[in-house]
Parts: sequence; structure tokens; C-alpha cells
Amino acid sequence: MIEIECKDLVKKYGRKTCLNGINLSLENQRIIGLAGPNGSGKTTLIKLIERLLTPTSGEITIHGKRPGKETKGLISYLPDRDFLPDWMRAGELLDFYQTFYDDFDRTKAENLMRQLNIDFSGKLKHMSKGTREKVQLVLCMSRKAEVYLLDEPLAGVDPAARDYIIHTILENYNEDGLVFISTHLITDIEPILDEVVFLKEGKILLHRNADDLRAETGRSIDDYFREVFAC
Amino acid sequence: MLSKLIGYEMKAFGRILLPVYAAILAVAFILGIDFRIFSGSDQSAGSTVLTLILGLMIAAVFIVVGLLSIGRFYTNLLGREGYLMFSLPTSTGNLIWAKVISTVLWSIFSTVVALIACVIPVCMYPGFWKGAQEADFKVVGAEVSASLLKYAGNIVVGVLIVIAAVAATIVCIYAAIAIGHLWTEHRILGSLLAFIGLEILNSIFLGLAGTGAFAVGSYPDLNRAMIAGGTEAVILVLFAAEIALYGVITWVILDRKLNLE
Amino acid sequence: MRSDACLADQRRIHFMAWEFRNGIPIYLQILDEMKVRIASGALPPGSKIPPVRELAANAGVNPNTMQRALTALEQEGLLYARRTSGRYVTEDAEIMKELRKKLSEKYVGELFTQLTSLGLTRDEIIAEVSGWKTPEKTSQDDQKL
Repeated sequence: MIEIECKDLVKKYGRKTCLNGINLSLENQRIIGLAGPNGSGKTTLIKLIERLLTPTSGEITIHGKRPGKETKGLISYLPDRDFLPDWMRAGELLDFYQTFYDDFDRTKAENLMRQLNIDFSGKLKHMSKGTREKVQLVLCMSRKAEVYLLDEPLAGVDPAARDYIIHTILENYNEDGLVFISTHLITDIEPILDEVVFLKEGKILLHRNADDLRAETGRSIDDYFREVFAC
Repeated sequence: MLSKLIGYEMKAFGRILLPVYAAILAVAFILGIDFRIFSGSDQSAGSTVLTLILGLMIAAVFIVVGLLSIGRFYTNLLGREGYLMFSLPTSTGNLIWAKVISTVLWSIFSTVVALIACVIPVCMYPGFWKGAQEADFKVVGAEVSASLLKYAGNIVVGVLIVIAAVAATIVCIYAAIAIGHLWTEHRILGSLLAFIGLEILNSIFLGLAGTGAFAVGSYPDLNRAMIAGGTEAVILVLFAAEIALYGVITWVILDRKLNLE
Repeated sequence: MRSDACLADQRRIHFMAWEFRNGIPIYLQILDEMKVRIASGALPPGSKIPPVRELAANAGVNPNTMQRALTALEQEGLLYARRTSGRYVTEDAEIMKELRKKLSEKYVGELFTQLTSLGLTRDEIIAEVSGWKTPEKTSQDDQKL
């Protein structure tokens, strides 16, 4: 079943064309990587799916629907930055997610936070950056969503935390759904991918099954990526 | 969903405003005590200072409500928290409405608190109850009730006009912020310029309405309708038009032209 | 593959994803690692292995890939599935013996390949093996651990 479909998707900012005709079909029960160098349009594509941006032309459908309040309920989105109000406490954030998202599993989120020794009455602003990022990840992965949109979840994160993040994604995602991860750090992510999409200068370069790509090129996706995107 | 958003907004305002309310009521209470202790002719300078402080605090609380509302719109919707809010399964309209309604409600609460803050020291003033008893509560009470009933309609309309004014002002400011958001490099400057522009628009609008009213006045039947109490209705309609216009501007920009950093 | 630490204490090193080498399909690498764990007793005979998802999460791999490896292990008889309760390590002594034999053949083969490439003859290699003693732990090694 196709979860996300893009048809001739174009996004321009003034005269600059960020996405230049994207045609993409992503099916469910898959973990798919979106790989490309910085500035290739990965975040733009993800924001278009989440409707934080509207297309210049072309179409996106999620689960057959146009991006809007219904699709937002189906998508669990993790931005690549701090996005939670830092005056809120961990417990209050749990309340917030439980209030606004029907698919939020509060018990799971609480357990994950306990594992991290997070004080539910502590404010976000008093937590370290790493802990804040983990809180954001926990909240995102505790939803039983159709689509998980993770924008650079590993960027700027220490190696131990990277393992934790990958482990948490794999342990908690809804297997019936789609996990769409954008990254420019392929090595850590590569083993978990079913499929990979290369994005170059606003166009889809390839969309292949990960094992097939490795077999065809005779090297890891990371190595192939470096070759394709060499400066 | 709208009620949930309103609940969240109310709490966000409340964590700032409730302590302020507590402080105001505390100062009012202290003023009342001051009245008790230093009653009569030897009124201390202290009560003058306290009264001044109380007055300033009451004025300040309305400014705080305004600043909170503007600040929350800017940080919660157009700052990084926008990633959270615009990912919620709700319409853009609800996000805007929740903030407008919350601003209006807290303005009402602030008014109530301001009134209480005025009433407390007065009630605690030593001569007050004696004077009240002499004035015979029953008669005074009956007269006040009668007046209230007679002008009930006017009072309700007046309250509605004030609410509409608050809503119209805040939506106008939201629209200015939203317009400023479009100018990516200079968002705050853009908002200020937009606000000036919108205020000019408001003046033109009012001017036109005034001219329209004058024109209408030359038609006898309409004229009679206006005098029969239609003026307030016209004001309400004008405010409603303002809210609609600026609401739509804000909505279109936030829904179609959003560009979070 | 970085697996020694993982073998030592599975529960403590929960979130250390396995490292994978280029050129060899990941599921084959998982297969080899699992065989080592079974042969060494880190996964004892008759013991229940964690569900696919947990194993995949611990190893940092796609659950489909892990599933592929586990299915291959089942086909080789190293794991068996009980319909409702999950997968278990085989208790069959013959199979275990066969596994150890295959693994040691593989390691010996690797040893011979490497030493031959250094120029040693077969007799020299056998002499090296016969004369080999477990190195004594020096204080430096202790500090490393």
C-alpha cells in the first residue's frame, strides 16, 4: 500500500528552485532512507509532506489524502531541531501529546523516559541538549503512526546516543507503517534501511532496495553515496 | 480540538498572569490594611504611594496581557514551537482562534481582578461600612438593581463592544506579524511596517464608515433605525468586519505561506 | 565484527549496534555472528532467543534482515520454532558438533590463508600452531580492560 506519493512536486523560493519535479512512491511496512548532501532539498521535501510548506506545483498524497489536518494525525514528525517549549516539564509534555494525539501511547513514553532517568517534573530548559533530543525522539516514537518522518535524527549526536536512537526507532515504530528518515550520515543508518532514495539538487537520483543497491554496486551504500556525491 | 487548544493557551497565559493577579490582590489587601491603620486625617504618605502602585499594577496587567498575546503568537506559532503546533492534527484557523479567544478571556479576567483590587481597599476603609449602613443598604440596593435592569441591554452591548474591540485589535496585530513573517530577512521590521500600514487602513475604514453613516443619515427610515440604538450595532459590525478581514489575512499567510526557520 | 563485548554481557551493552563490513550482505554477517554465539554457548542450547524485533533493535538492523537471518538459521537446524512461544536454540548435540566443526574449519582455513600469504610453508605453519602458547596477561592489558 502506498503511504506517500509525490507527483511532479516542485518547490521554489523566489527564483531559487529547491525541488525540481519529484516523483516518488513510498510503501508501508518499510524503513526508507532519504539521503543527500546538505542543501539537496531533504528537509524541504519532509516539510512539504508535513504541510509546513505548500508546493509551488505538483501533488503530494499521504494515505491517499492531501496534506492537511487529517494527514497530520497520521504522521509522527521529528524535526531536526529543538521544537518543544522549554518551559514545559516532561510530565506536561506527556499530557500535551496525550491530549492532542489519539495514537499516543503514554505508558510506553513514560517507560522510555524512566529508562533515561528523566524527572517528570523537570523542565526541558534544565535538561542537557542530548536529553532534550531524546525526549523529542521518545515522544515521536511513542505514537502508533502510519508514517514516521524523521529529519536528520542522528545529526550532531554522540555515538552512544546514536545507538540509542536507532535502537529506540527499531523497538517502537509501528511495523505496519512507514519510517522515512532523512540523513546525510549513512553509515549508522544503512543497516536498518529496506530502501534508499538519493536526492541530488532537488531531483530524485535513485530509489532502490538497499540490498539490491549493495549487490549491484558491490559496495556499501555509504561508499556509493560518497562516490555519487563527490565534490 | 479547538477547546483543547484553548485549554493549552489559557494555561500558558495563566502561568504568567496568575502570579501577577496574586501580586495585585496582595497590594490591594496591603492598601486596605494601610487604610485601617492610618485612617482619618493623619493619612500617611504610604497610602498615596500604595494607591499609585496599585493603579500602575492594574494598568500594567492589561499591558502584560497584550504583550503575552503578541509574544505567544510570535514564539508559539512562528518560532521553533511552530514545528510542534503546525504538526498538530488541527486546522490553522483553530490555532489562531485559540489565541484570540484566550486573549479575550484573560482580558475579561484581568478586568474582574482589577475591579476586585479596587473594591478590596474601599471595603476595608474604616468609614465605609458605617457610611454604608447610614445610607441604608436596602434603598441603595434597590436603586442599584433598578438601574442595572433598566440598562441591562446597554451593559451587555457595551461589554460586547469591548470584547470585539479587544479581539479586533489583537487580530490586527496578528495580521501585521503574519505579514512581517513574509519578509524573511527582516521579519520584525516587516511586522512593524505592516502594523503601521494596517492602522492606516483602519483609519481609512473608519473614515469611510463615518461618511457612510452620514450618507445613511439622509435616509429617514435608516436614520430612525440608527438612532433607535443601531449605532452600537454599526460599531459591532465594523469590529466584526475588522476581525474577519484581519483574521482572513492571518489565516491565508499562516496556512499557505508558512516558512518556519 | 565488534562482538566480543556483546558476548560478554548482553544485558549491559544493550544499545551497541553491531558493526558491519562492506561487500557482504548484512543478513549473512548476522548469520555468522549468530552461529558464533550459538557455538560458544553465549546463546545456550535450548534457550529462547529474543523476538525478531528486539534482536533487530539491539543489532541496529532492519527487522526484515534479521528475520531473513533467523529463517536461514532455522533451515540449517540451529534454531527451531515453537508455534506460539518463539524461537529456541537447538539442543541437538550432533548439529552443535557439526557447527563447531564447520566454524573451526573456517578459522583454520583463514589462518592458513593468512600465514601462506606471509610466505610460510605448511610445515612452518603447523610448527607455529603446535608451539603456540596463550600470551600471559601483562599489566598493560589489564589497564586496557
